[in-house]
Amino acid sequence: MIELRNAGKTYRQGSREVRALRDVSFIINKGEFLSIMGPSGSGKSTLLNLMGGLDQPTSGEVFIDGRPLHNITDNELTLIRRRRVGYIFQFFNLLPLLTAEENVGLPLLLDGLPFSEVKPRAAALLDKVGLRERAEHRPEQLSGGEMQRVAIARALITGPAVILADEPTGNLDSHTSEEIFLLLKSFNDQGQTIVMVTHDPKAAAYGTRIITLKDGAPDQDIVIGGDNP
Amino acid sequence: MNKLRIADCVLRIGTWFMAAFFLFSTVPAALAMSGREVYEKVHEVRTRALDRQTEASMTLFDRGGGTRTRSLVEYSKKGEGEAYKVLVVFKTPPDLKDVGFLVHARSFADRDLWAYFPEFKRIRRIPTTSQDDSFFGTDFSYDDFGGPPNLDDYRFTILREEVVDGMACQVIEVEPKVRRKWSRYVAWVAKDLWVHVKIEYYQDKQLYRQGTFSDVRIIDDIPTPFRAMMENVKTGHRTGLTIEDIRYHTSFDDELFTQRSLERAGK
Amino acid sequence: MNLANLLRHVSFKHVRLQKTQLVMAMAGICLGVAAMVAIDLANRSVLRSFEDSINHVTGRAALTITAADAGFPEAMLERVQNVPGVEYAVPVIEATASLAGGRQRPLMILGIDVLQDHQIRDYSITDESADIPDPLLFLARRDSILLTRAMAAQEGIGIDEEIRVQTVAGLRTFQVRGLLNPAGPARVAGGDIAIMDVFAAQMAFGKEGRIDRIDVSLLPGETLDAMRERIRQVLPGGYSIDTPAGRTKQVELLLGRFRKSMSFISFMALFVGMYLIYNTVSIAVVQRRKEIGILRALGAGRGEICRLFLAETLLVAAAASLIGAGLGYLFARASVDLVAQNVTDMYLRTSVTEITVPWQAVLGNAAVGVLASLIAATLPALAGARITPVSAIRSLPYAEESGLLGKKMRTAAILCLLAGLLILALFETAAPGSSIRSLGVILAAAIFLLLGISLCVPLLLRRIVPLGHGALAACFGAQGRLAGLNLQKNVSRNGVAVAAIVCSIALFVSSANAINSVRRSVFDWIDTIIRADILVSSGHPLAGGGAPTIPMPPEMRQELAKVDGVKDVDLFRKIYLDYGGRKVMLEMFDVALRLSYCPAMITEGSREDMLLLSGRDNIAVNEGFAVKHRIKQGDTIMLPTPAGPAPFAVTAIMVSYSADSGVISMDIDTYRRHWQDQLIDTYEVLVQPGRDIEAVRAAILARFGTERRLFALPAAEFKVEVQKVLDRSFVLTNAVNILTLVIAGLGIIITLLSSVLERTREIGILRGIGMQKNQVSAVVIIESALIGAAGGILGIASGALIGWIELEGIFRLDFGDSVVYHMHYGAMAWALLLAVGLAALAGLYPARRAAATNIVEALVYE
Repeated sequence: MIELRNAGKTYRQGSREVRALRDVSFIINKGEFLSIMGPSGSGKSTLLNLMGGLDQPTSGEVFIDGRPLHNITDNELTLIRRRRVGYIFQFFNLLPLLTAEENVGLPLLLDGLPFSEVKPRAAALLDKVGLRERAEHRPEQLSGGEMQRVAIARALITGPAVILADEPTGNLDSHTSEEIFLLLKSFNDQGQTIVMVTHDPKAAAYGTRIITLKDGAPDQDIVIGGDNP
Repeated sequence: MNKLRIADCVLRIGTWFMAAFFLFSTVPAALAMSGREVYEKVHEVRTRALDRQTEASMTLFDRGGGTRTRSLVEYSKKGEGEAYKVLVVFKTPPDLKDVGFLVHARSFADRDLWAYFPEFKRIRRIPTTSQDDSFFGTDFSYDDFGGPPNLDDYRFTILREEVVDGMACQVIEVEPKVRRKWSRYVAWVAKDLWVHVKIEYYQDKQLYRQGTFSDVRIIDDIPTPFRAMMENVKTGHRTGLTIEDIRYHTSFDDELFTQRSLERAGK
Repeated sequence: MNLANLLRHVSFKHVRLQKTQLVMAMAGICLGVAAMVAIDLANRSVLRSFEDSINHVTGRAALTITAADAGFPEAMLERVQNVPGVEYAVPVIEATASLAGGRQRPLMILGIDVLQDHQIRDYSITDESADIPDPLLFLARRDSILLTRAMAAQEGIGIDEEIRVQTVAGLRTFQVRGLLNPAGPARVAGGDIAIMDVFAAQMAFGKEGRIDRIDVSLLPGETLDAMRERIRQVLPGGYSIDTPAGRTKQVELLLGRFRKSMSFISFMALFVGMYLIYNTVSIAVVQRRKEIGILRALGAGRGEICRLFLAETLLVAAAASLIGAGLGYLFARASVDLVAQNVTDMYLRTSVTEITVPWQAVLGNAAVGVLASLIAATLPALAGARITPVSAIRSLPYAEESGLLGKKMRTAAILCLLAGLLILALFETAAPGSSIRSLGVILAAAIFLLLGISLCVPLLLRRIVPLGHGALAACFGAQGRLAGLNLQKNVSRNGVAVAAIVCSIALFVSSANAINSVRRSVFDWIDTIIRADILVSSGHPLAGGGAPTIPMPPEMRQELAKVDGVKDVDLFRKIYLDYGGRKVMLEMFDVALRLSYCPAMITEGSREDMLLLSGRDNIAVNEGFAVKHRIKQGDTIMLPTPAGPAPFAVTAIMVSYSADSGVISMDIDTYRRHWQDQLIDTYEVLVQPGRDIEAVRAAILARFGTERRLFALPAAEFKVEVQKVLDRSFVLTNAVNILTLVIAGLGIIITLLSSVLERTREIGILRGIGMQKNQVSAVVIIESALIGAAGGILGIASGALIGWIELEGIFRLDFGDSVVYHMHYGAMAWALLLAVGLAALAGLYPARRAAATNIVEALVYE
């Protein structure tokens, strides 16, 4: 599904070089709910960005569905993001101008589908995340939890190979957070591959596998609930 | 600066001739005279030559060697005191034929001047302007021919005596008391003849104009230089004047010196 | 806190951070100031060249005496010379001619009394360099002429050589008797001047016994006014006794409309620049909200915040204005020939050899630029000062300056519109000739209306844009939808960019409409007065304005009539005369003949009334003249004739566009009787039906070609020439209009750029969820095009209105109501295309910036 081979990322910060990731290699299988943990600055978000094609590694390789994410044009990369990856951000990152429905349907709209085709699919997803009544609302009229549900719906609309979530509950209270995790879990149960970055062990526990990062490299790789201890 | 104004270029041909003969006329010799006394003689002799008819030719030589020649007749008549009348009529070239000038002078300093141009059938009054300016493109200035209008306006100094063309001359420096275009001139006056033989004009220390008067003949008892040449040293432009024929004591009728006569070229 | 400290420690940091916006805003002001400076300098240079000509030509003369163009009897000279207190009075003849060979170079010939003239003028002729080798010959011959050294060198002519010159008496040969050094009159007209003796000039130009002007110098101790009065008493009425400065003033008056309309359009460029400054400062206030809040929290007062923004504006505007002034100089150099050409076409012959740069005027224009910027910055600066410490520190990513959309703005909009309409109503109801009916008043109305419309723009956008969302989404998909939403989101800021476009498009459209109206009216009129087949003239085919025509003798009429194929010959003569302190045009033709084949455009009176012109002291006047001087049909007015003022009855009011300041028509015989002038400017030949016009034209040229240089233009070609002149006169207007559009485009760039920078995060999200770079660009460009389209549509509507106002204020004031308002639909369509196209172009850079947004950085929370 997603494969990293010696993926590394080095940033320049002024005159300083920061090695955010060093030689990371692992494979995420279809249907997994992977939680990536680690202290802040350990490279979690960078890792997620590499997997989602938001960023490209400075060394090594990243594959999604066997297709490389490096050495391809920006347009190809963008299409992969649009069609194969669903993103959920800590700050929801909905477009304030669009209604919930439009926000959900946006990736399809970007793909050139007419809104009439997009609308029922968006409505169905909103129904799935429990926001059927909120379809016509704008982000500013929604609560944080509702916004994140919209974001989840948006991530799902293209039927992506993987959903990447970056601290999806970082801005939510614990009760709402739990709802969001349960929602994600339910999608995972339906076979959706999910990769989630979090610093909260409780949140990580929703996953089927946990990788902890330390100083830009995997420290531990634990599979939960399965046969592994 | 030797900038001249257009009208000043275009002046006074009539008086030119009349005045020229003042310069060339003479008085009997006098000994041990002061500079001023010499000029009193020069002045006095000019007056005697006023009644006359002259045929002359004039040639302008420009820098490049080009020449313009014209011939003319001049009639003059003496009046009371310093008063006189002059009529000049051009004969050649064809462009200037019958162009005429008429002068009515009440004195050397006070005169009326008219010109007649046949192409326009029009008499034009010519205003009096600076006496030092060139007229009609010649190298003579008005004052060269007007004579010293008032001897009191000048200081005369006899510098030395010299022989020029075989003639004994008093060399006299003349300085104006009023501001003029030139700062002084030096004149060679032939003894006993009382005509200028040579003249040099200076601006500050610099010579800018010089003239020679030669071929002096005695006509009717009046010494008359038949040739004059004036040169502008700065530009190299020269003007020559040659008398072809001259008669004195002509006593013309006043009718000859009217504007009607000017229009008919003296006929 | 100290303002200087704030500037140094806070403002200058922003210079680095917002370089592009700053550069754009500066460019806007810079271009606005440049346009003003350029137009001002070009106009001043033209005027200055007139002034120089007048001064060089009048020399030390304290007074100059003129009558009508046809000149006056030379006997007047003696009268003036005998007036006590007159030192010198010298005659002058002014004539235009042209060299017969080569480029047919036009020259001005000055006829002067060479024996007297040095009393008044500088003729720097050195006898040393033998400029006039034979002055006697010069005086004695009527073919004598003096040329300037410059012209002689350019034409390869030497002393004693012949030149062939086109004069009233046909082609004439002159002898060059001397050369003039470039001083005094020889400096005039770029050296295209020749000097003749006054009497020779009289003969060469058919002015025997007449002179055009007397230049007078006064004895010390005499006063101008007393002397003017004394001279007036010895002359018949109708003579103008002017100081040279007065003549300059007259030229200024003559060029008044041209200069005013040019100044107006150049000011409008700056006006649009003000929107730019307003927008830039507003954006800066919004973007620096947090900073302002912190400063306020740290103890900066409201006044200080306001002054900080104003001081920043001052610095930026001052720099931009100075650069603009320099740029303006370059523009002026590029355009001065065109301005001079326009003035030559329409008014007086002129050629400008150098650009006059009066520093006070240039700095004055720059100061206007700075002032305009400060005024534009005041509102947003005050808005900045109102930011409270708390509200600023709270993070509001999409702060909306709702204040400007509020009631106040609506009130201001309504007030402006009302003021504009009120002024317009005042103008319309004011009595003809009243001081309210002036260009300034109606332009004030135009500016108020434009301001009002600008203020309405955000309100309109808010209402209109949502209506278009569906259509946008349909056309451009998600990008269209997003672009529309973005536009709507920042309505007040986008509103300013739209308003700038509205103004510039309104100007463009209004000019096009006014120009179109004038063109149509002029052509309709020309069609009614030019019914002849061939126009015969000796100079420029256009007998209008300052074209150097050389009149022809009256006998030519009979000779033309004898040419095979000619049915009849009409004639036309025009001169300027002094009426009420202004030069008005007097046009003469054979009324009976003219009316037999031309439909006259008469606004008051009938054809029969027009026929009353023949044989009697009757005249017809044009509408503009009638309105300006409150003349009705049946009134009698006094016109200055060479023999003194004479009464003429106005039998009809007609349409004529021959001159701004007024046109009087008269029968040619009446004119000849009073003016004693037999010359003719144009013969209008009617060809026998069925004859080939081209063949007749050739026959005319063959008949006269050897005697004189003639233009025999088929009427159709003449009309094309008129069109060319008209079009040329509008080139500069169009150039400034386009400059204004460019400034408005800069406004779009600023607006979009700041909106793109603010939307970095949003763009990051879009990119994150799979928006391609070109899709991002498309959103920005569509947004930009939408701004352009909105501005274009509103601008075209406003332009239609402003165009009507322009026509009222600029043309109808001078030419009366018969100028019909014809909208130029083509130009209006073009304007929309231009607005959208230019806007899309302006969107390119912000679009590129948007597409280049780094996704990861954009998504990192600030």
